[in-house]
Amino acid sequence: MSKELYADISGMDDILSVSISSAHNAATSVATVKAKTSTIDIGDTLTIDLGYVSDFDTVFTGYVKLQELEDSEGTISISAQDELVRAVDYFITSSTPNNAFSRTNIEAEFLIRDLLALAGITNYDYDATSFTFATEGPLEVNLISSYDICKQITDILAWHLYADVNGQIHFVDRKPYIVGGDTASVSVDNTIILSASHSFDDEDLRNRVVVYGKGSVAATAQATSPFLPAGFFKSTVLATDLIDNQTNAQLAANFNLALLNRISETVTLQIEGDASIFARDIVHVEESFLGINDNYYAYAVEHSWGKDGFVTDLILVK
Amino acid sequence: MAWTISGVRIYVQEYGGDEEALIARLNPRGGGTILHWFGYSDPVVQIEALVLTQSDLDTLKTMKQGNTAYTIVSPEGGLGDWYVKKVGWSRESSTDHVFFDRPGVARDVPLYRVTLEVYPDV
Repeated sequence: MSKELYADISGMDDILSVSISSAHNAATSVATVKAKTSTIDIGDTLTIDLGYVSDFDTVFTGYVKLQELEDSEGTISISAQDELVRAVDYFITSSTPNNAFSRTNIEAEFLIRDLLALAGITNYDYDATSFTFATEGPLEVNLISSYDICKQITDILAWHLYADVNGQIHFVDRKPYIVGGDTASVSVDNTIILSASHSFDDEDLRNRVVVYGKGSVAATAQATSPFLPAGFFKSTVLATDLIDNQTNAQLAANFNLALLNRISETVTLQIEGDASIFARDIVHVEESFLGINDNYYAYAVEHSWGKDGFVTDLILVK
Repeated sequence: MAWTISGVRIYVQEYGGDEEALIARLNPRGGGTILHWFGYSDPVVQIEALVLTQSDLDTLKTMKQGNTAYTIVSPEGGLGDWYVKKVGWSRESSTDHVFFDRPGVARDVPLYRVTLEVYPDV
């Protein structure tokens, strides 16, 4: 039986191809669409439903950032990014140097809330961090994008900031690997897996984290690694004036050591297209040729739809 | 009615085409084939015909230039408008020929065998 491909995109008809990319480490998800007709314009809201006539999902909502008219083919290509692009585009600039954005004694989740609000983003959901910034004096923010400063905050805590498919921003303690309590929301096996590979590497392993804060504030966290020679440390540095006290510096070092002191186990799959799978999902993989039967975190997901069929490429990590 | 394309008389020897559905084939590791139906293409039609006189051939050649569709008429009626994608031609080695519906044309004018590839104007 053949599955009839389905795509519905607001303001576009005669869809020729669609590509949606999202990843844990990307600021936004990106959608690229090629079609014969379009009435949309730069800045318009774009919603994409994708899949099959009998089974489709909303895979993207965001804003059109690029439009290209291809004369020789008579086609229109557009590129769009999700809600967080507003934070990427918003450059925090006070009207006078002495009137910068400022906060004191503020928890991380509320500091991010206020920084996103500068970019007009208020649809925001968060977990409690119990991590307070600006305890030794005001924290001032100026001459930086809203997203970049929020990213610095999330990196200090080793937390995660992202926009979901409905445009809501989430600030959560989501690590880019499987943690206790993770349960799979989707399963894939060899009835839909088209290609697979399984790899291990220590490229991102760091077993020593040094934090340089404001002034003389500094802290170190380190641990031996069973994957490195005894007494050998691969170091990384987190340098930021956002950390203004020793307690926070040590916490930041500890958080990032827990995040980075591990090898990467990666499963790369291409499967028959499944529009219900998003980056950050927990995926159960059963692949007999490689001997895989376990849960993985969807680090990156790319949906590709067109005359060559609908496939989903997954980068899964454990 | 006789076969014409934009009023140019063509003596059709063969008229046929290809039409296809766009179906992707995916092969999962577990075996078998998954089919994804994307759509279908409009027909590509090939016409093999004799063309009488150099001027008729030259007129056919110009039909590949420009973004214009031309009306094709068959003995059964109009077939709609078509874009001329390709014009293939070769001169027949005939020195004396008579076409019943071209009484005013000299018997030794050039006679060409032409192949046209046409796409429908949709």
